[in-house]
Amino acid sequence: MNDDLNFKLSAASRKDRSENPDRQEESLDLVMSEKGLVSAESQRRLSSEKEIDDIIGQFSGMTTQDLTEAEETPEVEEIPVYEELPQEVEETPVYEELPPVVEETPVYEELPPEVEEIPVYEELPPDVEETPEQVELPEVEELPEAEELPEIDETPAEDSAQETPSDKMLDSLAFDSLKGKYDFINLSILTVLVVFIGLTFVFMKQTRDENKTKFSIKTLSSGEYSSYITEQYNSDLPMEKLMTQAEVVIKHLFGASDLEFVDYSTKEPPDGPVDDDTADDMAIADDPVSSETVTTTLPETTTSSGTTGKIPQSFDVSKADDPAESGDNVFTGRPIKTTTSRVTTTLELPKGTEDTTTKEVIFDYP
Amino acid sequence: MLFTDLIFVFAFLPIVTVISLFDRSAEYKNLVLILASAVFFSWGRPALILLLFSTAFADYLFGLGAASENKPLRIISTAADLLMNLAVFVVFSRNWLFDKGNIFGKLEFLSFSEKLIPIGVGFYAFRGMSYVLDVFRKRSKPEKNPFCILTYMMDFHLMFAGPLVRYDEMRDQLRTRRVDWSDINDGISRFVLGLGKAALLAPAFSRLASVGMNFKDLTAAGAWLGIVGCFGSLWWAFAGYNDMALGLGLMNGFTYPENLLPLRLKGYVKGIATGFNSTLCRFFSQNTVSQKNKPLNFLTVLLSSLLVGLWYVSELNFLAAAAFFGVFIGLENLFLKKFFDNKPPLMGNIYTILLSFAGASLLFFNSFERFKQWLLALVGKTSFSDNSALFGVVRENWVLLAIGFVGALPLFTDLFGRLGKKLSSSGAGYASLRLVKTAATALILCCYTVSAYQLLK
Repeated sequence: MNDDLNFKLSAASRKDRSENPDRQEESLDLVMSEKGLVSAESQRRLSSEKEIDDIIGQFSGMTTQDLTEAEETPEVEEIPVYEELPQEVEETPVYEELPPVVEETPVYEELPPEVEEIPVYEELPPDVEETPEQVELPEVEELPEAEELPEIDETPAEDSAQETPSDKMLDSLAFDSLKGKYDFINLSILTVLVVFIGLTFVFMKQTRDENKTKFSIKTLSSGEYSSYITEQYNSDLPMEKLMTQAEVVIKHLFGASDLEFVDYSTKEPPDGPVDDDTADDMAIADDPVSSETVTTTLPETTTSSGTTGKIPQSFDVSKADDPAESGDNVFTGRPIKTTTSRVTTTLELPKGTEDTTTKEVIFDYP
Repeated sequence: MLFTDLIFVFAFLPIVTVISLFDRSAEYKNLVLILASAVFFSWGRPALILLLFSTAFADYLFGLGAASENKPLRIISTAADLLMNLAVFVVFSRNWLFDKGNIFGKLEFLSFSEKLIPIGVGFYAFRGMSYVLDVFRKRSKPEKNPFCILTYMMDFHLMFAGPLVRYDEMRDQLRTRRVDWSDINDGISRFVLGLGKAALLAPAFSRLASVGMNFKDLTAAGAWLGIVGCFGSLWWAFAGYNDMALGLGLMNGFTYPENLLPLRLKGYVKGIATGFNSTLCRFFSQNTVSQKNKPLNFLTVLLSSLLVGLWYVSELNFLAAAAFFGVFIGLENLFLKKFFDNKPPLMGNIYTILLSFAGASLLFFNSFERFKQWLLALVGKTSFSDNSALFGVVRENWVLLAIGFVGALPLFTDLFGRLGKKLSSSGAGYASLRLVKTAATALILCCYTVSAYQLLK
C-alpha cells in the first residue's frame, strides 16, 4: 500500500511539477503540505486506498480514474534528490580607487583667418523692354443669361449656432478676465486721483495759526476740536487761483457761461442730507433768499461838475420783501424789472468836484 | 460731516477704507466700522454718541425679550422698544415741535440746538424698531451677539438716505464677508457716481427750481420748468445719497438693497410712489397693511402712506401728498389696476404720469394759495412774462439739466442699457465702454472737487 501510495503521490507530483516547473526541486512532502493535504507521515496512517485516492485527486486535480490509469504506466521515474546548495553570501565588492580624472583642456590649432571672397558676378545683359505683341482677341460671344440661382438661406444652421457648454464656459472665463483687467484700471485711476488730491490738500495747505484749539478731552467731547479741524481744513485749501480757473472751464462744460465778462461768485446753500431732518429744505420757500455780489466796470459817466470819470461801483443785491418797481437803470439804460431786489451803493465822486462827500443811492437792479 | 464734504471724501473715507483692509476677518471690519461711525456721528458735535450706544444696547435687550416664549414679556419688550425709538425720533428728528408755540411747546426744555442733534436719527430709530418688530413677528431670529447689533445700528453708511436695511438682510454679512478688489472698484465707482448726482446734478435742478418757482414773477415757463427743477433736485439728491451709501457698503463688503427704484409706468401710481424710498415703504406696508379684506386693505394702505409722510416731514403739504398717493394706491388695489390692465397701455401711462405729477407737486408748496397760483400759471394764466433769468439759468446749466433729464427717464436708461449690452458683446467694444466709463468717473470726481472747493471759498 505504501508503494501504491508512493506511486500515486509521485504521479501527482509529476503532474504538479509539469504544471509548475519552478517547483521541480521541491520535495514531495513539501508540495503536499503546501497543497493543504495531509503530511507524509499521516498519509501512511490512512487505511483506505480510496481516501488516499481522494486526497491525491484533490492535490492533482486527477480523478480516481486518472489515478488508476497512472498506475498502469510501466515507467517509474525516480525522484531526484538534490543536494542543498550552499547559501549564497553576498560579498561587498571592493573597488580599487580610481585615479582622479584630469580634464585636459583641448588645444586647438589656429585656424587661418577667414578671407571674404568678393563674389564676381557676370554682367547681366541689359534689360530690354519688349513691347508686347498685340494679340488680336477673338470675338466674345454673348454669354447666355445666367439662370437665377435659388436663394440661399443665410441664417446659420441650428447646429452651428448652438454653443456647447464648454464654449460658453470659455466665453464667460474670457469675459471675467477682461472685466477684472478693466476693474483694476478703473480702481487704480480713481485711487490715484483720490490719494493725490487728498495729499495735495494736506501738504500744500496755506497754514494759518488763527485761534488754534488745543487737543484735550474736553474739546474732543464737546466737538470743538473736530470743528476746528474742519475749519482749518476748509480754510487752508491750496491752489485758489487754479481752482477758480478750473471752475470757469467746468462751467463752460456745463453750459454757456458769461464768466469771461462778468466775474461773480454765487454762494448757494450747501447740499444737505436728504432725510427727514432736512427734506423740507427741498420745498420752495416763499421768499428764497440769495445774495449776489456783482462787481463790474461801468462806462464813463458825467458827474455833477461836468468832469468825467469812471466810477467803480460795487453793489450788494439782496432780495427783500418789497414789490418790484419799474424804472430805468441810469447806467445801462435797460428797463428794470426786478422781483425783490434792493441795491444800496455808495458813489464816490472824483476829486476836484465841489461836493466830495459820498452819496448813498438806492435803486432797483434786475 | 456730510458725504459731500471734501474732508469726508479726501480724508475720512480713504483713511477708514485703508484701515479696514488691514485684516480680512469680519470682526475686525465690524470694529473699524463701529469706531468710524462713532467718529462720524460725533464730528463737530458733542459726544451724544453715548445716546446711540445706549439705545443700540437697549434694542439688543428688547430683541431678546421679543423672542422669548413668555407672551407678556414679548409684548412688553416690543412696546417698550417702539416707545423708546419713537421718543428718540420725535425728540431729535422733530425737535422743532418742542420750540415755544408749537405742539410740544410746554416741553421747551427738550428743545436743543441743531448742533446737539445727531445725524440721521430718523433712519437710526427705525432701524432699531424694524429689528425688534421683525423678531416679535417671527420674521427674524434674535441676535445674541451684541457686537453684531451694535454694528448694524451704528453703520454710518445708512444714515443719510437709507436704505432701511432689515437685520436679516445683514445678519450673514456681519459674520462673514469678503472684500475683493472688484468690490472696492464697484464701491468707489458707485460712490463717485453718487457724488456727481448729489453735488452736480441736484444743485443744477435746484437752481432751475429756485428761479422758475419764484412766486413774485411766476411765468408759465417758470411754472413748468420750476416744477421739473423741483422733481429733479429731489430725485437726484436722493439718488446720489443712495448711491453713495451703496458704494460705501460695497467698499466694506456689504450689499445693501436698492432704495430708489427706476421710474416705471407699468406699476402705475403705486410703482412710482413706492419706488422712491422703497425700503421704508416696504417696512410700513409690512407692519400696517392688512390683506384680510378690501375695505380694510384700503384703510391700512392709507394709514401706511400717512405714516410715511409723517416720517419724512410732519407738515401739512407732505401729509396731503401722502394721503393723495395713499388713496390712489388703495384704489388701484381695489379695482383700478385691473381696470387699466384691460385697457390699452397708453391710458394707464397717461393716468400714471398725470397723477404722479399732481401728487408729487404737493410736496413743494407750503400753502394752498401757492399751489393754486402755480396751477393757473401752468395753463398760462399769469401776468408775468419775463423769462430772462430763467433762460439764463437754463443756458448756464443746460448740459447738466439734459443729463439729469435723460438719466431719470426709463426710456433713455433702457436705450443706453441696450446699447451698452450690444457693445459689451465684443471684447473691443467692452474695453471702449469701460474706458469711457472710467474717464467719465474721473471727470465727475474732478468736477465735484472744484465745485465743493468753490462752495467753501
